[in-house]
Amino acid sequence: MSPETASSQIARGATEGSREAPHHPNYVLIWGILVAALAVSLFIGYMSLPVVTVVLIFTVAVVKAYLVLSYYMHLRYEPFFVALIVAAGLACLYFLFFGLVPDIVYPPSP
Amino acid sequence: MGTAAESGFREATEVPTGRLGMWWFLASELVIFGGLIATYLLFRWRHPEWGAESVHTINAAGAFNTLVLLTSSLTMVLAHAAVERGDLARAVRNLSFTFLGGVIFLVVKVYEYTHEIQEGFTPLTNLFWSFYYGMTGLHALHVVGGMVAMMVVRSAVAKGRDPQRVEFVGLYWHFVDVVWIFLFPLLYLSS
Amino acid sequence: MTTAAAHAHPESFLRTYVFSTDHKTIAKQYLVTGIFMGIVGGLLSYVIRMQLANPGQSIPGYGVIGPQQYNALVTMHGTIMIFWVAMPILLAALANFLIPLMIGAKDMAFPRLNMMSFWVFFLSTVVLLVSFFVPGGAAAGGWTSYPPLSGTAAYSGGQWGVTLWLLAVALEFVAFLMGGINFITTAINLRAPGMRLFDMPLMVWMQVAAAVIFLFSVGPLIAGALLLLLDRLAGTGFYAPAAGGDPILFQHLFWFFGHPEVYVILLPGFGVIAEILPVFSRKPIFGYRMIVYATIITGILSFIVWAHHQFIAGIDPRLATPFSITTILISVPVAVILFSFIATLYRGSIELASPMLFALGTLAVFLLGGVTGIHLGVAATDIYFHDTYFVVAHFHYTLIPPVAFGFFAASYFWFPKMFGRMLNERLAHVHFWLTFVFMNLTFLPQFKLGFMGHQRRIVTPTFFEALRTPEVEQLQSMATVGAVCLLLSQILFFANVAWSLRRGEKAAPNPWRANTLEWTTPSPPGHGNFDTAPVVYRGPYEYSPPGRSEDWFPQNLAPEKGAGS
Repeated sequence: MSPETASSQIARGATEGSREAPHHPNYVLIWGILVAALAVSLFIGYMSLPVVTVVLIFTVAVVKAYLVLSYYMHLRYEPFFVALIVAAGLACLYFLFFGLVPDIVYPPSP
Repeated sequence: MGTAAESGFREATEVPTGRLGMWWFLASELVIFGGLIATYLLFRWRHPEWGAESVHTINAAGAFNTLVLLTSSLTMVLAHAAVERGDLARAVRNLSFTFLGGVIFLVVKVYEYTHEIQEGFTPLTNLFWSFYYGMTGLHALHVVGGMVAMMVVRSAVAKGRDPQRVEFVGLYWHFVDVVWIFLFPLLYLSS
Repeated sequence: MTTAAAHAHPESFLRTYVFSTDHKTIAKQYLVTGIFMGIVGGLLSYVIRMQLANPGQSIPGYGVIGPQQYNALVTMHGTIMIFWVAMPILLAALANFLIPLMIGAKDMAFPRLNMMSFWVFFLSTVVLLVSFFVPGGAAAGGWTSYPPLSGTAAYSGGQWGVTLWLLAVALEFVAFLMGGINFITTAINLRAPGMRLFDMPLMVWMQVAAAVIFLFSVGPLIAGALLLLLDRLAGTGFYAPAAGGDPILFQHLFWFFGHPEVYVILLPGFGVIAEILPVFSRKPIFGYRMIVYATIITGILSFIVWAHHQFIAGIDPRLATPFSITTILISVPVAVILFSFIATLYRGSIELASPMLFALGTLAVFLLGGVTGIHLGVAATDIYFHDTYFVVAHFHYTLIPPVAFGFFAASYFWFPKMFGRMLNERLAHVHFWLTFVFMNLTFLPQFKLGFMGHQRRIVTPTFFEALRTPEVEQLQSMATVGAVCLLLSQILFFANVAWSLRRGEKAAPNPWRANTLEWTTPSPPGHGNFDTAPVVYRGPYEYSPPGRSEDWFPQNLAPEKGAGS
């Protein structure tokens, strides 16, 4: 969805009194998936494939965070601009991280 | 703080004002923890030898604590669902379970710290351990903060007041959970 | 919506004036604290300037100044002026006062959080002032507080100075995070019926943009300051190369916040101008939407320019070109905003009232600040200019326009709304011209000093042979005369305020014939702001609309039946 749509969502007129119906996904099922994901990442941890392990473990972590954010924190039921708040924070961290790589990861040799 | 709705403010978007404020607050927390995690990642990348250090963290304790926090997130969201159904007694019960989860998490954390310090890994041992204690310490402080807020909300809800706050403290608690989801592989698993 | 009458119950003195949750009272509390700190910061600059003009001589009212003290004064001058003057006045005071009034809300979204924000800020002020009197003196590592200078007590003079500095700054950040979350949420959700996003006055846009930029940029620095605190207090080595840490990390984290911070201060200043120019030109603002988009683009770009502060700090040379390019790029949206302001004046019926004078003064002075920024943004020239008086002159030319001129413009414009009295116009004109002339007298010579290679942050310039020339001494004396006169000129402002508060002409609700919602309230507005909840029908800048006898068209005025607009 474009930022234009997001701003039109903010701009939309008042909707007092017409609160959205509560969303209740199957919370216990999601918990089950999260625990299974934890087991998977532990299992991966015991494999000894350096790069693959790191990538897999962090993929699992991202999946877990996504599940908590969208279902437990109800982000998928919020208007798009709320997700945009989180995305903006992540974008800032992205700039910060890659701006620092040349200096912090590869310091000039003394 | 009282919600906008009850003090007669209008809400120009479909997101209630309290929840919207909460999301902005979490965004500010996100960049604080994110900055710390980014810094750690950069140093971790610079020092491949830290892999040998993270072997000394207790994987089983970290994994157990992840399970505890995930479960407490479940009871937290069940408390919120109970509020939306109007079942306040059930909400209070679930809040208590969540609080208990926080207690168990902290007890395990204290056990870990004690064990590691006895093994000779203090915050001053080297930079990896400085990061380990710094990051988990800041996270533990957030857990404590969340538990205090939860107790305040719980006692209000038990008297039937401000049930909408369950959702706000819940958002915060899930955020603390998400941070731990990343700290666990960063500090324990990636050796 | 309930009206003000519902809030008429009497409240205690403490609740009304001290622990108030009313956004207007909190704005005044921030304002008074900010002005007080402004006086402190101004007096520090007096001592600094006197020392530079007459190195080693006793300074009237202070005495002889040593190197350690000089470093502490420079550090504290910078810290105070940015964090304890610009931020509380331009952001906290103006946003608190104006956002609810301009969007037609009766208060902030979270009034109690708002009160807490001020008191945390107040605590931070006390901590900072206390740090002047601890053993070893105040922090002396520069307002950027780079390690290793700030990393250990051995380098920073004393254990307590920098520690208290870090604590005060951290508390201040927390206060402004609370305030910022409040501003953003209020502007998104509490707008009056009918007010779409693009009906908001530009001041609200700018304040919200500033709050969002602050919120996203400050996080990594809070984390970084925490690590620095651990280095100092616990003895960790996050910034110590010997322990595997890296001092350059702090520079990156600082400027990742520090550069966006420039726009955090600048944008509210621009917001003030955007409100004043249309009123005193009797014309709609030129390119409302363009200004909004340019503001958003400026905000986004401000996150990827930070390393231009570190070109000679030993960063990877490959970073220099990308950061030079983004730095030049960011001047494009800022120029769009400036040219829109100038185009607003074109063919307007301009009235040179005191707010307008200061608004135009802001544009004139900022232009020079912006242009000299190009020299510092390009790595090739920055290598020569870095750490010279050219930099000092440049950032005073960029920050004094929003912070001093913008604040004065806002004061002359909104004082009637805030306190219910008009300020004396003639005194205001004298104040403007003296401020404008002496500001330039203070900082223009410093550009020249910078060209001549005069370093900043040295206590005794005459120590270096190259700086022992009559020309350098003359320029330093000019700057000092300018600074002292600039400080003295501000007495006019305070006298004007003191006199007008008691004897000033009573202000009508809308003395400037302006459109925005704050002018529909009584002067000063009561608790709850609006007697009847306003409904918005049009944008904020419809001046001299065709087919209307008056040359302004308030946002809340219902369209006449049949007229159809």
